[in-house]
Amino acid sequence: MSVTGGLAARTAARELARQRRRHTVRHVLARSVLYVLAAGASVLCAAPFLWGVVTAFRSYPGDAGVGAHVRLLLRSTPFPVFVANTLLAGALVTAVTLLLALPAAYALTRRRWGGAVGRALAVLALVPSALLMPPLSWTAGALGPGDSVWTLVLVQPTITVPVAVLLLGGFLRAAPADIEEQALVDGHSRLAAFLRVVVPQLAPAIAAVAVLAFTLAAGDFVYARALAPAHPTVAAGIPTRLAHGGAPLWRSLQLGVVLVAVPLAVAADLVLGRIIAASAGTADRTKA
Amino acid sequence: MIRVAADTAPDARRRGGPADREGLLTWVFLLPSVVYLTALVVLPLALAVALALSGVTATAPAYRFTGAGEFASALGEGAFWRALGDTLLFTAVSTVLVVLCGQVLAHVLLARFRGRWLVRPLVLLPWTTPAALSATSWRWLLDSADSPAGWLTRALGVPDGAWHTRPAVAMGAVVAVHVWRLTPLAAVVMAAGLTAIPRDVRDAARVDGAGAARRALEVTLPLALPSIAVAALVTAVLTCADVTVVAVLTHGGPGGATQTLATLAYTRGAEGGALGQGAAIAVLLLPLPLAGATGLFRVVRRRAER
Amino acid sequence: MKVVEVRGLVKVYEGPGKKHVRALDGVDLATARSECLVLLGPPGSGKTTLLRTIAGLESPTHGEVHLGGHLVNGLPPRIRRVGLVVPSYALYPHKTVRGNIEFPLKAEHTPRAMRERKARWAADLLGIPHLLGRRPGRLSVDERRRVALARALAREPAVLLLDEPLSGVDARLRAAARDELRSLQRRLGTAMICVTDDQAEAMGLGDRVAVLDAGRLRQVGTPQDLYDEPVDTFVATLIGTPPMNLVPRGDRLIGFRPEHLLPAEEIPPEGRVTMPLRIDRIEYLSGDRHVYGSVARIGQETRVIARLPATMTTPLAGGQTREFAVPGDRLRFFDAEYGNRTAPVRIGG
Repeated sequence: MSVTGGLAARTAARELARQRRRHTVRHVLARSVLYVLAAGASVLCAAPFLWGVVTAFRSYPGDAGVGAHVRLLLRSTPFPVFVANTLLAGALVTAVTLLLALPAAYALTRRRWGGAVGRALAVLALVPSALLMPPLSWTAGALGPGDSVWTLVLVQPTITVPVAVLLLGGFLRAAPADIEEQALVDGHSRLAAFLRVVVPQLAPAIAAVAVLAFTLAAGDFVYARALAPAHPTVAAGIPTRLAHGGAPLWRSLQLGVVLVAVPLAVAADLVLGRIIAASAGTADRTKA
Repeated sequence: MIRVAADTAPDARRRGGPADREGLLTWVFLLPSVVYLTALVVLPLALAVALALSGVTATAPAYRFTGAGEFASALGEGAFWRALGDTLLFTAVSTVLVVLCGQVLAHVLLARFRGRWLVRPLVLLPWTTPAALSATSWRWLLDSADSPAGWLTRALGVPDGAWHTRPAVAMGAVVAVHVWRLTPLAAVVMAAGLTAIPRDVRDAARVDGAGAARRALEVTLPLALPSIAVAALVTAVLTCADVTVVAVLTHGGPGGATQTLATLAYTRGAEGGALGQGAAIAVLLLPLPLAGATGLFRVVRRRAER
Repeated sequence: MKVVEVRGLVKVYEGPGKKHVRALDGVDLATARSECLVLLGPPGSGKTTLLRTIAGLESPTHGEVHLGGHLVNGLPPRIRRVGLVVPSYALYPHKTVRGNIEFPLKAEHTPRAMRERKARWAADLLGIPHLLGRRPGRLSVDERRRVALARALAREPAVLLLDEPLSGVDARLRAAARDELRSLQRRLGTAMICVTDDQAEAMGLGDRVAVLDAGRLRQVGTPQDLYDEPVDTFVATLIGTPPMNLVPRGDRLIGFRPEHLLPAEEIPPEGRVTMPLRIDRIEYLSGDRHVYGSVARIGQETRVIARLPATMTTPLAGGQTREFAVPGDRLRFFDAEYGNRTAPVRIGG
C-alpha cells in the first residue's frame, strides 16, 4: 500500500472514531433527557395527590397523624357512602354501556353506512353536559325516578355510549373478519357468530372499554350534582359536601381523593396499551 | 355411501331463522342505542332550546313560552361577554399548551426505560381521576402556604392563601389545571398516531441518512399531524364545555373573572334554579363544540383517504 | 476488497417471559465489491436480523461489523451509506416519488441541482421517470418496488441491502424482475446482499449463497457448490426441487439428487450403484417425469423421487418395480445423527 493510501485510511478511521464518539454522547444525552422528562412528568402529574399524601403524613399541632385521618374519613364522614354510590352507579353504567354499545358497534362496522352513523355519534359525544343538564333535571323532576342513583344509571350512559361505540368500532375494524366468516361457513347464524366468536375475541377490548366507561361515569360531576344531590358519588360529594370544614378534615379529604385516584389510574394503565392500539387501528407496538 | 350424497345437499329443513338475517340483525343491534340516545340526548337537546325560550325556574317549573327573552337578557349582560372571552382564552391557551406538553408525554409513554411500570400509572392520574376530585386536590395544594404551589404564588407577590382573590392568578390556575388534566389524554391520542407510523418507514429514514431533527420534521411530524389535530380538537372541545374545574376550583371567582359560558349556564341553571336562562346560555355555547366536531371530521376523513 | 464483513456476530433478543432468543449465533461472513450475496434460510433463521445489523438498525450483542474495511459498530445507520429495501418498501406516504428518492440526498445536503440530476438518473435506471410527481399511495406494487430501489440507489450506496426484494412481485413476472435486478447490479457494480426464503430465487440471484439456520451459517458458496456439495442434510434438503433423496443405512444417510436416479440401463455400469425402485405414481412437470416410489437394498426402505429428463423415453408405469441406479460419484454421505457430511462408504452392487 502506498504512503498516501495509508494516510487516507488513517484519516477515515479517525473520522469514524469521532462519529462514533459523537453518536455515543448523543445516545447518553437522549437517554438522560428521557429519564429527566419521565421523572418530571410523573411528579407533575401526581403533584396534587403527592401533596395530599405529604400533608396527611405530616404531624400538625392538634391532630393525631395519618391513622386519625383515615379514621375520621371512614367513620365520621359519608365518604364510604359516596364510594358505595360510585361503585354501584359506575358498575351499572358500565354494564348498560357495554350492552348498548357492543351490538351497535358491531352493526356499524359491518355496514357501509356505518361511517355516517359514527359521525352522528361523535357529535352526540361532544354535546356538553351543561346543555343537557337543564332539560334533564326538568324532566327528571316530573317523570324520572327522582333524586336517586338510578337516575344516574339512566343518564350517565349518554356520556359513555358514544365513546364506547367509537372505540369498540376501532377494535372491531382491526379484528379480522375471516374468523367470523369461518363461523358462518361452519354452520353458525350471524347472531351465534357474534356471541360466540366476535365477543370472546373482543374480550381484551371490552375490558379496556369497561375501564374507560367506569372512569367516565365516576368522573361525571354535572349530572351527579344536579340529578342526585341526596345520593352523591365521590366526584359530586367530596367537593360539595366535605370541602367546607377545617384543615384536619381537608387532610382526611385528600387521603380520600388519593384512595379513589390510585385504583382508577392503575386499572387504566393495565388497558392503556390496548386503547392506544385501538385508536391507532394497528397492532400493539407498545408491549412486547 | 348413499348417506354421503344426502349429506352434501344443503340442509333444507333448517332454512335459517331471524338470527341469520343480516339486515334485521343490524337493526336489532342498533335499535337500543338509537332509542336510548334519541330519548336522552336528541330530545333533551330540543327541549333545551324549548326551555331557553321559556322562563322556567326550579321553583316555577310550569312551562310558559316567553320567546327570545332569555337570549336577549343573556346577550345584554356584561357577564355573558366576559364569560365568552374567558372561554375562548382558556380554550386557546390550554389547547396550545396541551399539544406541546402532550407531544413530549407521548414520547415518554412510548419509550422503553427502567421504571416505566411506575411512571405510566402516575402519568395517567390526571386523566383518570374525576376532575372534581383533582380540582379539590389542586385547591388544597394552592391553599397550603407551605406547599410548592404556595411558594410559587408567594413569589408572584400574592399573600398566603389569597390566590383566588387575584383574577390573573385564578385564571392562570384554571388554565394550569386544564392543561394538567388533559395532557395525558392528548398524549395517548398522539401516542396512537405515533405508533401508527410504520416502523419500516422510520427505519428507512434512518438508513437514508436523516439526522434526528430531519426525521422529526420531515417524516414523523407530517405523518403524525392528523393525530395532533385530533388531540388539539378534543382538548379544545373538552376545555370549552367543561364545568367541573371552574366550579370546584374557583367557583367562577373572583368576581366572575374565571366564569366560562359552560359554568355560567351551570351556575344559573343548576345552582340558581333559572333553568330557562341556563339553557339559553348553554345553547349559545353549542356552536363552539360543533365547530370543533366539524374540524375533527375533516381531519379524520383526510386521514382515511390516505 | 471486502465491502461488508461481519465477524462472530451474535444477537440476543429478550423474548416474552425474559427468555433469551439467539437470533444470530456467531456469524462470520464477507462480501466483495460487485458481488451479489444471497442470505437463504427458513423464516426465523436470522437473515433479516443480519441485514438490519449491517444497516445499523440493530446493534449486535457481540461481534463486529466492518464496512469498507472500517469497524462500524456503534455508528448510526445514517453514516454507513447503505441502501435498504424492505418487504413493505417503506415509502414515505406524504412525499411524492421524487421527494422519496431525493430524501437520502437531502440528508447529506446535496445541492438542489445535483439532487434533481441524481433522482432523475435513479428514476431512469428503474424506468419510472413518469412517476416522479405521483404519491406512493396510488402506485402498483411493482412501481413501489421500483421507487424503493431508486431511493436506495440514489446516493450510490457502498452496498445495497435487499430484504425479500421480489416477495411482492407477481409469480409470472418474478423471473423477469430477477433478471432485471441482476443486470442492474452488474451495470452499477454495487455489492448487493439479498435476503430470501425461496431457494430457487436464491440460486438464480446469487453469485454466492449463504445458508442460515437458527442464527448459524450452515454453508456459504456458489449455487453450484451448494447444490453439488452440500455440507449437511439441512442444506441438501433445502436446495433443489424436489430435494435430495436421503436413504438411511446404518449410522449414515446416503444422499442423491432425483435427476441422478435413473433407470439402470441409462447409466454406464462402472461405478454405479443399483437399487430396485417400486413405482407408486408419476407426475409430468414441464416435460420431465417425476417418479415417486420407494427403494430398498442399499439401505432401509425409503420413499424417494426420481426425475427423468424429457429426452428419456423409457416406458414406466405405477405398480412396477424396476432396477434403477445412481452413478457412484453422485452419492453423498451424511451422519445419520448429526446430518453433517462424512467420508464415503462402500456400497455393494
